[in-house]
Amino acid sequence: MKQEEEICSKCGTILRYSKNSYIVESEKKEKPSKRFRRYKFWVTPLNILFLCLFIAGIDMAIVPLDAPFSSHWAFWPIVGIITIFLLALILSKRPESFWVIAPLIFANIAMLLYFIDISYGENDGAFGLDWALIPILSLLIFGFAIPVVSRFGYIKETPEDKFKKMVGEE
Amino acid sequence: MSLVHNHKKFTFGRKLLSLLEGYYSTYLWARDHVAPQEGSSIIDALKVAGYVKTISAIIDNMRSSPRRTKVKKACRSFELEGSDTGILFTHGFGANPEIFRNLAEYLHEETGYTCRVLRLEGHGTSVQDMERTTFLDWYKSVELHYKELSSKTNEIILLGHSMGSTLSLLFSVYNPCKAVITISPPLDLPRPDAKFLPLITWFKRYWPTKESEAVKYRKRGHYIYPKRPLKCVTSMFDLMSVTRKRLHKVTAPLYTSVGLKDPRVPSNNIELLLSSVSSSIKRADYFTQSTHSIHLGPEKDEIKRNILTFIRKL
Repeated sequence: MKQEEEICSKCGTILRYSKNSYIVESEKKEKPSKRFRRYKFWVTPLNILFLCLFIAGIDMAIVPLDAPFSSHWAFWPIVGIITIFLLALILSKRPESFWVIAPLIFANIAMLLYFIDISYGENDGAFGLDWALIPILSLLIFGFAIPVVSRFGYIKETPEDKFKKMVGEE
Repeated sequence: MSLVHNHKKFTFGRKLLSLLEGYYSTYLWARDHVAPQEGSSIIDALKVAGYVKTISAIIDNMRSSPRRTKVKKACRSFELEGSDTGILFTHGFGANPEIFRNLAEYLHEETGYTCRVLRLEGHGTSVQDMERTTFLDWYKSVELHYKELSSKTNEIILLGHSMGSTLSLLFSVYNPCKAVITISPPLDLPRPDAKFLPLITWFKRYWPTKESEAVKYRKRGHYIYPKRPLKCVTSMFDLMSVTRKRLHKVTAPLYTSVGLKDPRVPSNNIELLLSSVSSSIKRADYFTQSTHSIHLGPEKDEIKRNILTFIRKL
């Protein structure tokens, strides 16, 4: 059988084809893929840096600061933006970690609400709280307790079970 | 409307403008939808556009790395048309059909059988595409090609290398075949760290391919992934576990081989295989000079001849 040998001009791979060899038809079809425009890895951190500088600039421009590296209010949005970015980064790289991160976020928000409530206004309700009791309970029950319990109680299908189901084996 | 259109001659200018084009189109959108209030200036609208761009970048970066599903030209499944007996070749983990090119052509020439070399799902495309696959998808690939081949042929011989041979063994349990030929079949690898793989995947998604191995493959003209998804490695261990439990159900004539210099698959895998299967015809060859890919190594001619002899005796 005579063989033809050719080299791919793009990757340098040797492509050999004998005369009665043909590519299987299904291999020629490309699966459709729709996506947004991609960015280099430094685009988002840099954009966030600019955004933070912009916020800090506004903070400084409105009322001049007493000392360098201090702020009136810009600290909070900057820390918030960076936290959201880091969380988004972790979740994008490790989507499985969502069930760990999300309950922690809700628990933290509940804690934040607790401190805000006891710091301001009247504190004559349960646990020394005023208005935050219901949001805190909602966050802890729906955002923390239920997801954690559900996650630990989830019966995960083993690869063996999946295979049995696929081949119809009892 | 494109800003690039009128500036084709200046490369730097074009690049700069193409960078700005995104901002400009966002600005146009922002001007019409976000900041149409009376008295709003262009500067205000640009500020909004900057935020929109940043948010879109954050959303976009939340997606995992691009998953290319297009099969590389040198990694496509192929078939050598022949008689009504077929041989279905299954390649190993992270490899592609081209590693069987020589063997398939040799067997086709000598026997005249129809030889189909399949590509497993997620192989020959991108590491990200491979990452989403498990051994169930690989099994489905074998099933798909088996069905297509069985529509043209009366009987099929399954031939696999490495993980492909494990898949062939498992597939032969549920589907009729004339024989199973395995080259370096992994069934029980001595890797105590395999138990921790699901945990390791939390911290590390890919494991780089050894440079020496990559060079070896490139010299042969074969494409190989520069890194391997650890999720798939975990799935390969699952496949071995699933196959081990069903080895006693393998009844087809069996040919198996192992290289004694193979750092991945020790020869005790062959002993396990031979002692577990229920096949009436069993043959095992030990190659003293070969490593994992016996059919590409120094004893490739010997293994080709041995496989041919085994097929002819069936």
